[in-house]
Amino acid sequence: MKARHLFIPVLLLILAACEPVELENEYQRTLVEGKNSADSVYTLTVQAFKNVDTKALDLVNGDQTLNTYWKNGEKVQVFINGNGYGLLDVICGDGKPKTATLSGTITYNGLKVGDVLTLLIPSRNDAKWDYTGQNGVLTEVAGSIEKMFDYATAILTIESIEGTKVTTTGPATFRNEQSIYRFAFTNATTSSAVNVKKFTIYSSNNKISNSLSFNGTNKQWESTFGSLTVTASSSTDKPLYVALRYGDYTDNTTAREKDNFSFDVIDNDAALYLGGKAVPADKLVYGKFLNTTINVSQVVLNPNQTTPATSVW
Amino acid sequence: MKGSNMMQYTTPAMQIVELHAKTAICSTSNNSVTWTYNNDRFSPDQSIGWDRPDYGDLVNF
Repeated sequence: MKARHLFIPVLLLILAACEPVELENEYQRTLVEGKNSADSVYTLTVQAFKNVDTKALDLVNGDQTLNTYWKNGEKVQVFINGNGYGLLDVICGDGKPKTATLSGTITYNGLKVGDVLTLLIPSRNDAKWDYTGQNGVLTEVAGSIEKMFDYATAILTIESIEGTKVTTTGPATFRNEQSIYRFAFTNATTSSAVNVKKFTIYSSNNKISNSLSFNGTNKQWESTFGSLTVTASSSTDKPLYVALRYGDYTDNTTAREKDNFSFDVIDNDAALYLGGKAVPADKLVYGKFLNTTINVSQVVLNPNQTTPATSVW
Repeated sequence: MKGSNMMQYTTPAMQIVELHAKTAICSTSNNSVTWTYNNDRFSPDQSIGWDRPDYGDLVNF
């Protein structure tokens, strides 16, 4: 038997096994065709295209579970004592990997024992750790939590520098620096969903983080606190998502005090609603996926009134 | 004789303790991360896998 006659059946078996495939890594590969031309020469055409469905947040289980994973192409910002010094590439496997390696080189003169390295995702063009400017969307679109506000860090302190080796203390594990809240707003009078254009959250303890900066004396990241406004790109009666960091990591325990959040909501007709919610201490720690409904009441100002008389509590 | 016995039992125990301590210090997954460093340029050891936590199941309040 000629070698060619052995080769053809083997190739047919290979082609039969090659169902069109949909890989979840950055590039998908699809078998378009394998045809047997008249002279028994097989042509295999492979088409490659970029998978646009990769993302770092993964809402699954009927929107009841929020997972995270690494994606190829993602970048990690490197801060040293609070100043940004470059990016590391995320290298990970196919699918939805929980573990990745980081690759890249950071140049920093005068590295010394005790310096604090912060590895921060997501990497933003403005290199900031900031929670302002959210649009209430969880994933995929520009300005979504996934793209801009789903911060996770690995904070490491340099323990030793010996020859070509730097050793840092701290685990090779990123931690979520906020919780993700899902707020639905209901008209307390009609029980219908409010068509929200914008809402603002206030903490009675003034513990909602707006942004973080590095305190060089304490060698810690510390928040500037204030209210947090979420502006939807278009009004919606669906729940809106917020990346909310409460307090700072030094008091990130369930032993912290409970809080009362108050909300002012502007609907698509520019009507003002007010509402409030008591938040238990264990719903203020980081790394949680939380859901609640806020009952809000429309406020009607009379011509002589400059502030609403309605209490939100 | 009693003191000699104590030495025989104590020495291996001390060695084991020291071995555990060194193992913990050298661990890259729990206690420390190693970076390669040369002329003010450094990069993480690529053999280290960096984990990323989930937010988990929805909690109502």
